[in-house]
Amino acid sequence: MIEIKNVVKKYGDKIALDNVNFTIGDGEIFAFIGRNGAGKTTLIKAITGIHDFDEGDILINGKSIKKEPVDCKKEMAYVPDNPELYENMRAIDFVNFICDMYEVPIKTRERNIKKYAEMFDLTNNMNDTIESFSHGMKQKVALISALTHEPKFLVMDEPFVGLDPKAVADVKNVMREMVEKGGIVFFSTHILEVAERLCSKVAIIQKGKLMRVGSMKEVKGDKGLEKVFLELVEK
Amino acid sequence: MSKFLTLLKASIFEGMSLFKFRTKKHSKTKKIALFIFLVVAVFVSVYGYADMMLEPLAGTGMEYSVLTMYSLVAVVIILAEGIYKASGLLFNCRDDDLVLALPIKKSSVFLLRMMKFYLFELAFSTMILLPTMVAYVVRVGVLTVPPTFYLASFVALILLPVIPVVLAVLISMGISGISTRFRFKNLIQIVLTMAVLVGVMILSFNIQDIMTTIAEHVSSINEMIMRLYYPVGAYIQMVTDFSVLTLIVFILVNLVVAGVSVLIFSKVYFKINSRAKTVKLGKNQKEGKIKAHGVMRALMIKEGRKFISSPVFLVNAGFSLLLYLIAVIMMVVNFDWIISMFSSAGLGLSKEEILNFMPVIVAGFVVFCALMTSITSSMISLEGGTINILKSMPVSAFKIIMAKVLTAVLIAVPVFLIGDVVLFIKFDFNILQMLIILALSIIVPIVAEVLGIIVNLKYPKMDARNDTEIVKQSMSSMVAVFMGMILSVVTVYLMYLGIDNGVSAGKVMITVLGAYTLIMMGLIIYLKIRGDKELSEITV
Repeated sequence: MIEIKNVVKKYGDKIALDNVNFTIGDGEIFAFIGRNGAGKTTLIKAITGIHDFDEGDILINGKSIKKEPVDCKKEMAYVPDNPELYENMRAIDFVNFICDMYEVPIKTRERNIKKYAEMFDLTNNMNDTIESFSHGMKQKVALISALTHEPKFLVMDEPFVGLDPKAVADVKNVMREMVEKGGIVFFSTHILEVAERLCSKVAIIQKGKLMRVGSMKEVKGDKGLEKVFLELVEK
Repeated sequence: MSKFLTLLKASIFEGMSLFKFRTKKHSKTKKIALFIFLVVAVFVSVYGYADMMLEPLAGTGMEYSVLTMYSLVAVVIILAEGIYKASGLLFNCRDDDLVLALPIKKSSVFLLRMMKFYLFELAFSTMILLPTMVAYVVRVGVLTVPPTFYLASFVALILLPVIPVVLAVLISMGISGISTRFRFKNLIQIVLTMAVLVGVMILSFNIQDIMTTIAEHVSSINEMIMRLYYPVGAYIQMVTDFSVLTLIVFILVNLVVAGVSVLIFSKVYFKINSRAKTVKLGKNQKEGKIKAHGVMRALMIKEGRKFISSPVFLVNAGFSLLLYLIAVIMMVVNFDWIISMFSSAGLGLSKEEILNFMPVIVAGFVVFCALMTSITSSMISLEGGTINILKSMPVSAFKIIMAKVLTAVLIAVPVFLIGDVVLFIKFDFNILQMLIILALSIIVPIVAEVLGIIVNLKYPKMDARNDTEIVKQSMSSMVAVFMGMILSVVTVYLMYLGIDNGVSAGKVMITVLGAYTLIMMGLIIYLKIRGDKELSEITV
């Protein structure tokens, strides 16, 4: 379970997250939607321990990301919106490096790297340097490295950007697989149709404030997610 | 034209801003204060040194020789540094796609990059030449100096960097042109750049012989300087015997060189740039080997890879270490060099006296060179957006930071240890002296690298367009070099004071070792306590 409790984040005088509160339960695919600059990436970076926040706390399975960041991060994987990876590394070395950080046993990494490299059609490119890859290929490397260490919580910032249709379908399947095993998938997206079809819960953020949060049914009602979203952000 | 100027302005503000680093609250005041402090410190240091050199020449009418020397030094430094800076600034820039998509001529894009490079070198040469010119005016007398001096100096200040910049770009384009034809282009680029730099250094070391040869065939010093390097010669001629014709020729020569080079270079620049951006894929499609490493080892391997994959980063650090080894070899094969160094510093010691103090001299030399080599001062900035990968990992910030420090220490320390062994073979040191020098060769580089990473955590530049902006033009690298310089000068001065006051060489060396051990421990404790917070405050 991920508990976000009264989180406040300020950049100087600007409030990026204004007392954000919600909980993500085990086995949930949770969509986080909002306009550009609404605070989605800021919250994602706070959850993953990349950025500090000024007030409140975030608990990962009861542990505070502020007080026990290393323990919290062990159970989590993060896929950034813009896959800025180590360009000078070969894809296999990058995935290996991430596995080293998570201390993944060699047999687990062998099995998972093979599985996900095949899934994302990168098997023949794993020995190439990342700088030679397209945006989509880099995104796939980021996904392989995030999935190989078998995280309980997968946190992704706009994961479908730059992926080909087959890879998008594969990512959706991976998400479903993860939550079936009791894991959590939390991601931001601008593709509301995907969120509507894939997610059990959703939160809408506007100017750092949580406008609505709940199950997909509760949030969209009979109107459809896009209509609800537009009504909220245009207020 | 206005489009070009707008782009130049944006490009300079975005890419070259030395002061675009993150600080916490009241950042504007801090940035201005730091800027003023650094400018004043550099000005006072250069002024002081120039004035010291002008003192014995006062009233002889030869004061201009200091202007000659400083102008030549500025030219050589611009050329040497420019050779490896140019490749980073001109090729494979992160804003290539953005700028090339704009509705402006391709030659304007090249001119824009040349201008950016020139303006930075202009700022650099001004830091050397302006205080020297002021010291000259003060020594010669404000009323004695003719008004034409100010005109000539202003023009020289603007135009002296032009030809070294053009030469640096030419050499750099040549190196990039060759290296981009190979698969391992970075390796070829590093080897060729190092070879050219060593050539430039050898030429500079032999400047005395070159000047002697020229002197045999000329009738005046002015003519000699003119033959050695025309622009400096022309400037000095305008200072000593101003003529409008010399001024016009001087301006024309520089403008023609700049104009013609931009026209010719821009024809081949885009071909080389395109090749530099192309990454050749391996012929054999393989899955690659899967290996497991411990966390610290994996982090250090990653840092090592970054070091060898960035030509400007490697050449910058590698060149200062190479210079250290060259200096050690010169001490061994040409002992008269040390004697002449001491005499030029006003310390006329005999060969026996120097041999007696050799352990202290070597200790001071190690301290000075180690503190001037800061590899870590760029390592946080070089992460750029990838810092978020590290911050999301289940690894403590202290470990991430120490992996960078240890990698840098592993690069620097072996060079100092090799230098020590070479010196131990040549000079007669006792066991204790050898142990102290060996310990200093390990501890002082650790101090330099821990200090470097602390400075980089304070002044990170996470949005650079290329590695050169970080390694050569960032506040962090400047502050780290400045702090290293202050610390080393203070240490060497205190060592000199100790010896001058009759303290034994052994005691002086043990005190220095003790002091640096304490500094090292203090800095590591600081990193342990503050490193986590400092790293978490870096936002990308």
